[in-house]
Amino acid sequence: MSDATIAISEAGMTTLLQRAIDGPLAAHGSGAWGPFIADYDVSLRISGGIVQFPDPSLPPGPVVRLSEVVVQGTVVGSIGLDLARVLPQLCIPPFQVCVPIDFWGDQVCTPQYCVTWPTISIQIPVIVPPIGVSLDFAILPPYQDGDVWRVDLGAYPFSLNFDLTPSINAILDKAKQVVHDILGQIPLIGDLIDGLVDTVINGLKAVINTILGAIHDFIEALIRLVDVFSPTIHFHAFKLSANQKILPAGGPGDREVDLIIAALAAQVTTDKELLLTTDFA
Amino acid sequence: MDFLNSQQLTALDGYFHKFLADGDYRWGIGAVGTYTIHVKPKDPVHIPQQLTITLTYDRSGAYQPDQPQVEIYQNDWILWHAPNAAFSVPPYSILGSGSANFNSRALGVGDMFSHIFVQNGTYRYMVGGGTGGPQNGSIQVDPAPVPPPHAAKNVNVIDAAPPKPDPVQIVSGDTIVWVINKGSSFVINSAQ
Repeated sequence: MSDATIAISEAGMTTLLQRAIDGPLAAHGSGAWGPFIADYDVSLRISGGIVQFPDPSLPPGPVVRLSEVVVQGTVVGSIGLDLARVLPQLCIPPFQVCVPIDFWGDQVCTPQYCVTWPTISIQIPVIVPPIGVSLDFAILPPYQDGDVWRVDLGAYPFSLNFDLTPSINAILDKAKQVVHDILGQIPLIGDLIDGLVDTVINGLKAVINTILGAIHDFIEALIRLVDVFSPTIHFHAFKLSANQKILPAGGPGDREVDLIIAALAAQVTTDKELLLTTDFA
Repeated sequence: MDFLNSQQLTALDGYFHKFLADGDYRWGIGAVGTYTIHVKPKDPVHIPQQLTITLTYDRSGAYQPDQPQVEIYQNDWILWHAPNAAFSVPPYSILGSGSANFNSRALGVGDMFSHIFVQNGTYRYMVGGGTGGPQNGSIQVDPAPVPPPHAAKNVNVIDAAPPKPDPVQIVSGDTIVWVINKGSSFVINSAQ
């Protein structure tokens, strides 16, 4: 038999959870990935949500369902692409030529001019549009944290879907621009290797298409890095002071009366309420 | 039109020198410097070789050789070349002193200048220096088929006073070399 009980309705729980999840979520990092050097910046905002208490008489599982949560934001990936690892070497003449110098009776080999391909940096902003997400939570055992008791919810992971096609086109456009700019540095070279430029770009496109799926997975992994809804991350649904003031001090000799919460338990009832039961010390 | 000037070398140019005398040489870029070439006496069994010194234009705004000290045999060639220099960086020249001086800005016996032609058109140029006054030359550069051909072998020999460069016809991507067999202080550059 508990010393006291607190009942929280679905509407009350909705307010508590909305406060718990509302706010920006950010992550930043970088790493090397094949011919790419990736740098990412994730910014998401989670808001809204309506709580439902599933019937606790159903088989074991989530006991709190938060529906109509809105997730939106941006993932900005900065991709550094080493063109030298992707594009073929381009030299004029294609290979070194040696010519005899009759007067001296020997030969010399003339130099080549070879294009040096750089590493280019491409910004890939991925807009995560407002997505309605339903989240299922488990109520974790309450625990004491200093002067307060906390009730946390552990959520189950979810997935996001997004379209990277515009970003891939942006990558190709940027790469084409860089290739043309570099070749443009060679004085009026157009007549000589214009035809080769298309070959180079087509080669690049094939490579980009090959890794298209990998880029998608990569960006998705970046979003997952935020890990906001991992079961290992607890949402603080609410907290309760461990020292409950029952009667204030009435004057000299009439001290304040407090009750100390020694234990706290939480469960969802068939009345669709979250019931907290306390034992006082 | 391409920038054609043997006194101001770019990524499309090469400067060659054949070391006809043994001994120790010092050389530099723009002026005689501290880089060294040790030329060993002629070896009867040694076939003349070509050594390439690659120049890189670094962030400090200067050219740096990949081999500051080299050792060769008499009658070997050295090619100086800056294959990765952007066309926005300053041109360069090579000067050396020792048993015999060499200077890419004033070509003499044993020197050779090469240029890769990348633009179509008719190049009219002058060979100055030597004796007999400047002489005109011309190079007809036609469009190259795609893919480009292997570079043609075109050698323009300057071995007379006055020098009389031969008119030649090539396609873009080809290289012309000017070999100095006689005379001194030659300069090859575009005619105005």
